[in-house]
Amino acid sequence: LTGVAVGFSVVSLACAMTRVMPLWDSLNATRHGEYESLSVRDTNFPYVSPSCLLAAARTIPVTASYGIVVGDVPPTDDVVRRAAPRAFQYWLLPRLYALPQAATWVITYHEPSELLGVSYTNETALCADANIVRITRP
Amino acid sequence: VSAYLGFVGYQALLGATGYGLLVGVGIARARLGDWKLAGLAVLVGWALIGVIGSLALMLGVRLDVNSLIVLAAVTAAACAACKFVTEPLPISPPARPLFWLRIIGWAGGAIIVLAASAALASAFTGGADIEWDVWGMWAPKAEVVYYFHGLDGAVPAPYATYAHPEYPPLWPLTGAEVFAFSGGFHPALLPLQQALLGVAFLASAAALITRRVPGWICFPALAMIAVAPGFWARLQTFLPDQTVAYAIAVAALCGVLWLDERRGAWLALTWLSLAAAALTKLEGVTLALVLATALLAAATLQHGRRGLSGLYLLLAPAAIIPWRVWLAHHELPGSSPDYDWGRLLHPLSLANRIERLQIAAQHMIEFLFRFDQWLLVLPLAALALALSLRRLAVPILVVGAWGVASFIGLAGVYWIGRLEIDYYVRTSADRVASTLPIVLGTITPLLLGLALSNAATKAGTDVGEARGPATADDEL
Repeated sequence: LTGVAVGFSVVSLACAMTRVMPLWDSLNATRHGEYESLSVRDTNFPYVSPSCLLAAARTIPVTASYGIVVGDVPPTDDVVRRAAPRAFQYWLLPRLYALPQAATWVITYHEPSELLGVSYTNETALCADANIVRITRP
Repeated sequence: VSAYLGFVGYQALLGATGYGLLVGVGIARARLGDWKLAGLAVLVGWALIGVIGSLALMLGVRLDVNSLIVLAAVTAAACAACKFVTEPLPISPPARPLFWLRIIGWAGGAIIVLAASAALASAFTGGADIEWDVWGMWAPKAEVVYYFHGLDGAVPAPYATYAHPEYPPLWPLTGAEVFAFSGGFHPALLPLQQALLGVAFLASAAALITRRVPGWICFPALAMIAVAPGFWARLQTFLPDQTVAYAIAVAALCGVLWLDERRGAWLALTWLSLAAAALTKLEGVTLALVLATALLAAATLQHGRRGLSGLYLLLAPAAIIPWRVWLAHHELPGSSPDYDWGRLLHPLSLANRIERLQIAAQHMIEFLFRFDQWLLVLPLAALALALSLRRLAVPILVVGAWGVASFIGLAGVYWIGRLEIDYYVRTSADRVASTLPIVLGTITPLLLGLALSNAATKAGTDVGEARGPATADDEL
């Protein structure tokens, strides 16, 4: 059984050593890479631009509710169509997400605000892809 | 900087809480030499605060930084106070092996240190996790717990508005704790937290195994797991699948130590790890239940009626029951809409879908035995355990049974699943199946070392490489 244990350890070590160079390279890449601040790294996101998310967070009060409408002006990729509402939900907590009909603020992503069919004030551009409006209700 | 200080403070809190428990059950002795238990203390602290915190959330208790600190302090003090009624566990470190065997151990240890350093450095400088399930589900749930200090903080309950509301709350609570201690929503810290838990797991496994097994067997085996691409790739993602594997693996290690030494301390740690696995993700319930049952069967086989003290282990996966009550109270589904347990009662339906099981099983087997994913973790474990079977039959059979039953259970989910099979398997099978090589690869050096020790004892020789079997003053 000692022979089995020695064989087990030697083969395990040999297998592990095949991965040493990639790990070393990974460590070196980190050492020589450019360090970004935590706030920049927090905004690392592929589907909606960080500036858009940050602008929305600056515009909507923390206690307010908001909705999102994704349109096709210009045409929206299917993945982004699914991802955009979730991305805003991910970023805008603790603001409460609601249906556009019930929300105080509505983000229009690739959608002209005029097509919302409700009256609004304070239309602001968040980024090239999205605007935000404050809904006025009688 | 203050975010990082708070984050470090959180790790210290986890470590202090876990250390309190380790002192209380007699594994740590409140000495400088306990530094080897630092990783185990962090992992046990995470499990302890996670299980108690999750149950508190279900009861509607509001958790913020202050209440978390109080909870951790009270828990640590209560656990440490048990020191006065428990006996410290005897330690008999393995004797110094031959020099060339020590070299093998050092080389394995060095590779583990390299892997841990690279993982932490990469997580420290990397960005937020962009895995779809992380930002679409796990991180927002963590935000809800952080911002509203609970699960019911707003109307409608926002926790339930994200995908899979049936998943238990321990993992979102972990994220919420990171946010609370770092003073804000910092998703870039979540991969770092996961990497720290991964490093704590490796250190825990090393601390537990080397109590009985020499380093030249333990470290190369752990090094192979640490650098395996299948393990490495998930070291820094905030998906909880690998965290479940950590908890199950530590439970298996402690469970085997309990079978061998019959000390209550190991039973307590096994219980806690199983409960943490069950409350981290639904797959954890199945894996924990199978392991608890297997350990109970082994204890009964080995020790007769005295082994029935292991019945206590079945209560650990039952930690999910309060969560099911919470879900029912909020009129939420108790299981995933992705599969249907009811199909198990319809053999004809199952027979018609047998192709799904074949596709899932074949994909999982291919994945688990791919060298570019898991190196030789599973083939080596299978070979080593098969050759050791004669010297340590019951624990090895138990671990083998757990592996087979878990594989069938995980593959079975795809059999009864509702999603299109290729998509379902492609998006989840790899990360779910990863638990098997992590657990089996971690437990193998311990079983191999114990078998070696048994062989030496039986031969009447003292090779000085491991401690003898349990003594007459066993607690359980």
